[in-house]
Amino acid sequence: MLDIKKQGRIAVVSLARPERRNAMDRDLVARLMQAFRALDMEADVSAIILRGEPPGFCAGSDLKFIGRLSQRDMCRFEAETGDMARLIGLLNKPVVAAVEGFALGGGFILALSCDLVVSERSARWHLPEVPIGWLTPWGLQALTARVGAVAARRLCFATEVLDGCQAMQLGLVDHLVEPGQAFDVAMMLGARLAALSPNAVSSVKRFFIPAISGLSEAMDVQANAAFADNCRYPVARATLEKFGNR
Amino acid sequence: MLNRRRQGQVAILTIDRANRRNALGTELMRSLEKAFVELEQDDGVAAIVVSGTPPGFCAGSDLKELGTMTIPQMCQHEAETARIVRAIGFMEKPVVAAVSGFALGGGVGLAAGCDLIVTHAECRWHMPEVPNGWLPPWALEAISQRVGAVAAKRLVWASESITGAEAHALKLADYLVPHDKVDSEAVALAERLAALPRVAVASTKRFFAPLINGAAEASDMLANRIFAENCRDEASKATLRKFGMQV
Repeated sequence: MLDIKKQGRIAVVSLARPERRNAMDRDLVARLMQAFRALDMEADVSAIILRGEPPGFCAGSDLKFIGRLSQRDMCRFEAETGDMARLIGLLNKPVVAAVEGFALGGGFILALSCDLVVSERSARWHLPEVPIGWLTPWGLQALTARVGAVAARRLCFATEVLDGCQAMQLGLVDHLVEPGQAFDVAMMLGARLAALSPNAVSSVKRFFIPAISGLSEAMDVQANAAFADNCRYPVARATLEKFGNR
Repeated sequence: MLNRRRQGQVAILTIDRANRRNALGTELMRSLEKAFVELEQDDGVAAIVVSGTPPGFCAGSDLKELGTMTIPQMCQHEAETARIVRAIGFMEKPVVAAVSGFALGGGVGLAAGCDLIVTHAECRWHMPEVPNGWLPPWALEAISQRVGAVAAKRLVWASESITGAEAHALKLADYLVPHDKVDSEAVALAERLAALPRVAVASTKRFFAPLINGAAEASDMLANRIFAENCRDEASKATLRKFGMQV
């Protein structure tokens, strides 16, 4: 489900649900939240890497899981996922995302909620929520902080699937690497960050919180309300029914 | 612990821990969160009042309970309390605080997290955290939104407690009523809100939420960290030892 290993002063957090393409259910989200909180307090950890077991980084919310929930519980689950993703930006320690394969939907947003994003050129980046019927219910401030509101809106319309190079051009990705290299490069960046003064690194994070996290909690609440409303309409209903929802 | 009753479309939550001066312990916070979630989903409820049994509204953190924790546990507890109070601002239904007797520390924070505050002229409002040795670990954004950052800083320094009349003059409290009318006026206010079209009331709250509560999470997180650092200071340790903490 979630695998945590230490390598020197770096903690490697791996999404390990390959049979569900590392999609997030309540258990995985709760474990991520707990892992981030705990690692932020651990004195011998200076940087965190977030990655996914092959075939990819993360496919977003597990639709098979949310399809079984009532609408109310589904909205609550998405809100909890948003809480977890916002926490990354508020930690003392830097978090580096290593994206190989794909980053889709909530997985896309989870990756860019990290402080640094490393992606292989061939990785597939896509926000497919609007085509399946709803606004992305969390993390849009993190997206906006990286690419600006106009490009963020365009990405939410989801008319295009990006590769790593296009994601880099837009500012979604900080380091573009050859296929299969994302994890190694993320580890190298993590090691560089871990060699710096922890106080100075956390001061940098803190300094930029108002500019980057902005009004993120309130924006997530608004996106969640729009998501709830969107779920009442035919396209969304058809999607949810396909995944088991009454 | 937390009494719940209904008067028409108004739900009245009364903190009932008089033996701990209505302090915000772990169990009370869980009860409050559960009540808010249930009332938000209850179609029969249109507005909520939060009150406290005498002698006062709420004395803030339960120092006796905090005394049994480690500093990291205490910080986590305060972060949970902060999260539950921030959620009030993101509910659709209006929440009115009825503040009689005293609002101290986290009690001020709880009141400031509500949409409207009713108090009386002699009520004691005080933030005792800085004299204890630390920055209050949450609610500073909510207080700043009410009184402005400059007055908030003065209140947080807490060199003196202020009266309800002063709190009203600072716009920390919205309505000033006689002491024996605080609860009834808060309920009357909630009834007036409950009589308005619900969608418009909810839209109003939603419209202002980013402006009022938007930056609160990051602010609470920062305050919590500074609080943790402050707790390592000798002055703080002396206070914490008084509460029974092993530091």
